[in-house]
Amino acid sequence: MLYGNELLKEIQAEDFAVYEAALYLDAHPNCEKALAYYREHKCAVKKLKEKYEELYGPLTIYSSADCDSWQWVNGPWPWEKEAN
Amino acid sequence: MFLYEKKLQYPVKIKNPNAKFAKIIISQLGGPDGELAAAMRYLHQRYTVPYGQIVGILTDVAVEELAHLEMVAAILYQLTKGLSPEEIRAAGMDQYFVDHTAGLYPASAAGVPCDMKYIGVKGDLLADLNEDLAAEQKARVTYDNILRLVDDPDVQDPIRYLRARELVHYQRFGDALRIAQDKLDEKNFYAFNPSFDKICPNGGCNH
Amino acid sequence: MKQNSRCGVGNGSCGVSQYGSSCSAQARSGCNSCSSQARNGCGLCSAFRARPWNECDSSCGAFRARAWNECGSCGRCGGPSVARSLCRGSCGGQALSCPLQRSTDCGCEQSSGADRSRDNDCEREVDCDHDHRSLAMVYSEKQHFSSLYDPKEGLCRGTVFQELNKPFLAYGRK
Repeated sequence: MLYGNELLKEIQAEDFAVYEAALYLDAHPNCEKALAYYREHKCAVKKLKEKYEELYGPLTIYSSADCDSWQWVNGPWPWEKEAN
Repeated sequence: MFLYEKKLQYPVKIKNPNAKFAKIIISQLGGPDGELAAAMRYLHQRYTVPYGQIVGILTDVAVEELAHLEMVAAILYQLTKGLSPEEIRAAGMDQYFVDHTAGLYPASAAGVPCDMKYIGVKGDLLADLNEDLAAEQKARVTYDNILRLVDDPDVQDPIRYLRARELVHYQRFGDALRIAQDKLDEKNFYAFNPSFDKICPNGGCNH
Repeated sequence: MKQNSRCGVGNGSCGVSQYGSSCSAQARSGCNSCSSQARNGCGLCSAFRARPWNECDSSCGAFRARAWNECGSCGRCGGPSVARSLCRGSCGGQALSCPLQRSTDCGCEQSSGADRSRDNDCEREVDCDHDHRSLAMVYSEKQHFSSLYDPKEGLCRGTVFQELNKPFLAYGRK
């Protein structure tokens, strides 16, 4: 199964923005700019992940619902070249 | 609890295996300033911190260090995949190989297994935050040194990324220190240990 | 029976007998008269009295020792009481210096008109006339949420914050 590398890179970029904002917000919880940024990118990445999981399988153990088969155990796993 | 996401935080795609590089980079897996030690340090310090923002910072940095641990493992995995025993011997990796084959065993470049002696959990908020600041700097230096020794751009790329993250963590621990200072008395920050002594201003307890 | 105090080992059971007005053994919290290891909110601590940790205003008897906070009328703290902070009363013994309640008013609000509210703590604060820094402490610059890379470039550089982009330059490239 081919991994959607380009789509995965989009997800990695958006997730990264979310995490950077989250770390910043831990230290500055009242910053409106950071909150708005966090919401914007969280929303964007949610859609991308839904699309990705539909095509390529679950990203977390909780997303394996609605599948006829248990896809969680399918490779490639993140440390393999094919997954990157 | 911990939720695993089946992707790396940053891609690792290495075309050319190289056991010599793996021997060096393994220090970021199991060495004194590596990602495993960092994750264990922050995860264990957070339990007795009385201020939610600082617990948040420690937790979220710790989780990111686990993600980095996985990236370092991915680098090592791809650097050693498909090597023959002759190539392994030529790279000087035979002593590691005899005990671990191509498995990823958390140890330093010198072969010392990862050790909790590398971490401090002093149970004092200010001492622990100062340790964390130092830890991020030491990790940065380790990545600097890897960049000096490893000249494959496929490897330098994720290493550069991991190094940059250490600096951001350093800033976050600086923020944590500032938050701690705001909660304490500037005339004497050391009058008591907020991680241990109960503080009840205005009749309420922090715990 | 006290409603929300869990006194003792089990769920509401105070050591040996029920909690409430008289608690034996390991009465932990919210007990009126607690023997042994009375911990919190203990008005009258008998016997082992030992460690009234908090809010000890009555005569805490014997081992009084550790009135930690808000001593207020530690009056009867006697002995080696170690009133640590915010102790206004006479705590006797090793009463450490009682630091002032941390003051948020440095007069800056008056002098500069700066809005030092916490509602938007990513904005730049107007410089205060007073230097709040003290010896034996290190301080960190507050970061502002500005000058961002777009997410893809941020991922590539290792941070979305331009101010935190500080690459290592002392190595060769192929």
